[in-house]
Amino acid sequence: MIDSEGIKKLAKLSRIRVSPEEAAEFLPQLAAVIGHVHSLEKADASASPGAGYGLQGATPLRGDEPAVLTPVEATSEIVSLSPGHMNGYFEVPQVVPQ
Amino acid sequence: MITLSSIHESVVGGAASFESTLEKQLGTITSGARINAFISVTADRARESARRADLELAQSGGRIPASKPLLGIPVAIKDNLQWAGSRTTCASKMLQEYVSPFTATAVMRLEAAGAVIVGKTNLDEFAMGGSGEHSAFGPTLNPADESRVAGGSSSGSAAAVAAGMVPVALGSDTGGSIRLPASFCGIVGLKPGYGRVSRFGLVAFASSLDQVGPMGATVSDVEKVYRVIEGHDPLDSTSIAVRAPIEHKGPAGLRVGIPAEFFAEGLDPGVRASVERALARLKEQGAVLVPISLPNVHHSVACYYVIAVAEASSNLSRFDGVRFGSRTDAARSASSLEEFYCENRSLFGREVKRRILLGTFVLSSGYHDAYYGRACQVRELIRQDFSSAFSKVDLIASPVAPAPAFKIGEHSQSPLQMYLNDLYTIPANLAGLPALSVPVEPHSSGLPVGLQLMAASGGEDLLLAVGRTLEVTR
Repeated sequence: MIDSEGIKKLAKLSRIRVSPEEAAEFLPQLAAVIGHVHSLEKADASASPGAGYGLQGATPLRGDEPAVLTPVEATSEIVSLSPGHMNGYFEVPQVVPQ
Repeated sequence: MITLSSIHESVVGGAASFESTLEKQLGTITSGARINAFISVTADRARESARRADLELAQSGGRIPASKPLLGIPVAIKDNLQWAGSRTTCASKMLQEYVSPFTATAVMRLEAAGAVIVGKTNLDEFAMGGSGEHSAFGPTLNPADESRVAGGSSSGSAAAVAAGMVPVALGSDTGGSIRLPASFCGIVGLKPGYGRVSRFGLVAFASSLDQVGPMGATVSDVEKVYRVIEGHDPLDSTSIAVRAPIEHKGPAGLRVGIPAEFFAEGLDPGVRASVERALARLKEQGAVLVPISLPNVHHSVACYYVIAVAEASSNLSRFDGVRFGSRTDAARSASSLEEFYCENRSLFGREVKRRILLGTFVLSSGYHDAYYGRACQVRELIRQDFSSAFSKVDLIASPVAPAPAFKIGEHSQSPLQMYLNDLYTIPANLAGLPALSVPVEPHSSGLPVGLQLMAASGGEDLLLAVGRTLEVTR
């Protein structure tokens, strides 16, 4: 079960900032949802093959042909849509001291 | 509400042009702005499309060309579908400035069929919600009662149709997000079977459950849009190539399964009465109502809120302010990359944060098998329940939601209560089945009520045929 330390750990793993007010709000809400999820223990899953869904054979593989790409144009378009970029690269904060 | 066919009749008959029709609809959108159905209205682009549609109509001798079944029809699209050159915000501060560099396949097919896209509609942030309240742009109001929610997550698309702003719209459905708002607003919504409509260009929430589908004022309108957007797309590896239509049947002799689990405790008596009256009419027309059981379906909500949140926490990791998303001022002065990510991701709203935290929890080391592994096993049991039921019946009928649209803010402190509202819609997503929401007689309070019809894989044609019957006899 999740406690207040657990929320902090999950927030760190999720790379999300959770304020103390949010943590206080989320704790009973997440506990209620996880409590409900525990009902899955009552299902008799012994006959279940587990994950595996979809229409078998109905989703064809694409042809094994090289894609027609213009790498320079594609890269520059993708990078230009990012929230921060410089000289065709993603811009991030300096993480290694000079 | 305005219908697709009425627009075509009016324009082909010479009573209006596509341009004048568009202006009228833009006027309705403006006068209904308080409903908050739209995040962006693309009026100039729409006017250009409508002018082109009038020209094409003239060039084709005043007839709607067979290749352009949606010629000149104003259509709204949910703001989690990419449309090149438009903002695609997913109703999130995270993407408030994001402009799509490409167009979703479903939207591209609409445009190729002549549709006039009038704007992008409001939704629960990243399609996470069943009420339409969790939007960074404010809640969508229900046109049937503006003090109530429109239902979510495709709240704006449903409200735009119900308020007569557009005859048809696109939504997406991960756990009921087309059917629930359709039911709450009194319109028709189709969630096609998984793989029937390309997900290319749909911003992913839970990839094994997400599906794009049409919403409209009538079953016929929804069918026209479905015919345009369905079909294999090589850009979506989960898109199905073969079409396996189930034989059309009228109501006579149709075996309609009535699952006891969908009519159990918790169902509002007024909703039950409306649904049962619709079923009685099907019976009068020769359908056979067959009591059935789906013994594992009561695990659906628990199963969904493991699988969906697990997939969401993974899918939304890309919104970090580096590859996608926005950057906050605080992030610019972050002292580490970790802090930089956390600051940027603080732009997510509370419901999204809750679901990411839950997803991280169920996937975390030591818990993965107990939660995610278990949910995948139970999902398969639910699929087997449906498979067994469809060996005995042609369709399964149920209410769409246990109660009509609730008051805005009524469930804001209890996410679990909100999630349980999806009890009847989630099973079709878990099993990958097609399902239709059709309005039936209103609740005793006057609020809209929807009947859900579910079919075996490939059963969209059957759903639409029976849906039309219910509509005619409504």
